[in-house]
Amino acid sequence: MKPQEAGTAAPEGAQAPKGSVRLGNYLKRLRAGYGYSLRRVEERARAVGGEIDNSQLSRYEKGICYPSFDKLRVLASVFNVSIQAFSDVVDLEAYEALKPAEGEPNELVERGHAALQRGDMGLAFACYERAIELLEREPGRDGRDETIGWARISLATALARLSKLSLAEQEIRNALRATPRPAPSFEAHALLALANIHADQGDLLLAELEAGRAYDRARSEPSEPLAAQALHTLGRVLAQRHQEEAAIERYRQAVELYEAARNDYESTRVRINIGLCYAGLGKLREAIRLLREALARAQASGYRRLEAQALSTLGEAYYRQGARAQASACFRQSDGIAGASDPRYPDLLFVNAFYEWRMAIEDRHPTRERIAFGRLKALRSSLERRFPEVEAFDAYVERGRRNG
Amino acid sequence: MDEHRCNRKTVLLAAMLVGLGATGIAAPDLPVRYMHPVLDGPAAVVASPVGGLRWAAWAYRSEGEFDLALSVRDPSGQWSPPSFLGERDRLDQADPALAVDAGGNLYVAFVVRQVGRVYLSVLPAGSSRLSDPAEASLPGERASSPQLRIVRDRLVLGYRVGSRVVLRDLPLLGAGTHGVQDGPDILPPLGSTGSSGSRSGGGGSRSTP
Repeated sequence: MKPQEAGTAAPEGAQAPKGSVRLGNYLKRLRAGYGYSLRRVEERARAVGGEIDNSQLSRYEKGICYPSFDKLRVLASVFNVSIQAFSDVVDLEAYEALKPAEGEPNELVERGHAALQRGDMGLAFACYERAIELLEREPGRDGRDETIGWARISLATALARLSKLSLAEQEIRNALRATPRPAPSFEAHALLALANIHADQGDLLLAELEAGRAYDRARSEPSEPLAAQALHTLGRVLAQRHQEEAAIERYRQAVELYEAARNDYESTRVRINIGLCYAGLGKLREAIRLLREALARAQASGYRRLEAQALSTLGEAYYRQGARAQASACFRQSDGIAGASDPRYPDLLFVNAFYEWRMAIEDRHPTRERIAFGRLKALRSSLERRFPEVEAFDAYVERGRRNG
Repeated sequence: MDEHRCNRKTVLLAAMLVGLGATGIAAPDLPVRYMHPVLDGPAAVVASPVGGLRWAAWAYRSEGEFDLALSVRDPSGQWSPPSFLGERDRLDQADPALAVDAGGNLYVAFVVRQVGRVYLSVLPAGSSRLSDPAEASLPGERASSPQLRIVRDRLVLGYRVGSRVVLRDLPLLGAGTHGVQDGPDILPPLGSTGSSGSRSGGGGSRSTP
């Protein structure tokens, strides 16, 4: 956890914070969500076998000091959240400095969308959060609750891209909770957002059910943009299940709808996914052709995340083809983008490091192997997302532990 | 690949690989234009788990050099005319080894004698064209006698360097989709946030920034 950062100043006259104001606010929101008093939390903590004094909790909430790991464990148990969520909340303090001081909420949301598309996930998060804060200060505003709900879904998307999956899921729950009778379109989008978070977490059955429901809703409305997103999500679920041919079919339908809606951004993203499916099928020439095309589109339009992703995927296709020099060059270029942007794309950096590690092992190059392994270890702690490289690495580490 | 100490398991696997290579082919029905031991080198044969196919590869003597010949026998027992790799390149492509994975992809390893290197080429299932051969032995080694085995989702290549056996563990073609499959950004459709509408369509449609 990081020390106090800009934009999180404590109220005047209060003790100087040495903890995290953001974490404090998060704890306060959790407590309010359950309707617990400080004393009630103390009792609940005792019930789960821990000790948290109510004055101590008050200090955490004010950001005066950090809870110890043991206390976080107890609080996680009381509020039914993961300990990872607390750590993620503190990580988000890094984006406080990016928050626009003021602005019109809808304009801030639009700025968030543009930042997300550029691959600037931290700025997108900051814009969405500020928009929600401003909207919450305007109780009389027309359609305020619905607008906050939509902003929360966007915020969840940014959080998921920052690999803060538990927080993203909570945000969607908050959005649904705050909208007791959601409009069908809102509900379908919330379901799709959840489907993608669950797919990121590797919970494919749940993801498929949610995306399937959203697709049914899209067809009954009918809404082609929503159908495109649902097909895109169903495609990724199938691909993650190694049903590449079925995934390609869904992806192609999604591309058609995206193209009809002139959504070049998502269309490029799906093309990268299709390229990866072809690589999975062993059709490497086709995979490389598609990935190069997608890379050119991403470069021409300034989609930084997609550019880094296309390069990473291209590197993997070259690696499978045995073209190691080209594979390494792609991984390096992808690293350059994924590591240079603020914040970094830890999932892509992990994939790149994973293949560098594999190549080093295959080449019996112990120095390169150690460097790549060190990078993987460092990146793994910031990754909540599950994908085959993460699983292969975890299995390797687990085997190493078992064998002493 | 640096010289390395083999543990007992590795030695056993290596012995299996090299031993199997020595047995070569004993198939009574041979591909067309195959002239072992008069002109051609011994053939490697492997059965595909997909479609009842059987593949054969051998060093084919042609115009003062050896080319790699590859032939396939269909389920009716008919061998195809061979296709060749390395024709008239003044190099000897020899000692082929074959392996087929569960998806029916064919792996061909062979040595180029003049340079003492092992190359690997892949024929994806359903395709009729071998991939461009990629060097599979490590630089600085004079490699010979390649052998291939599929072990789970990996391709194990073994070859000789002097009196040693070197093993390399390589990825299979199409061992499932890896990497990152990203879903869409779930953003509100146009007008949901009360914006003036700079976007076209809904559900995350965006114009280029």
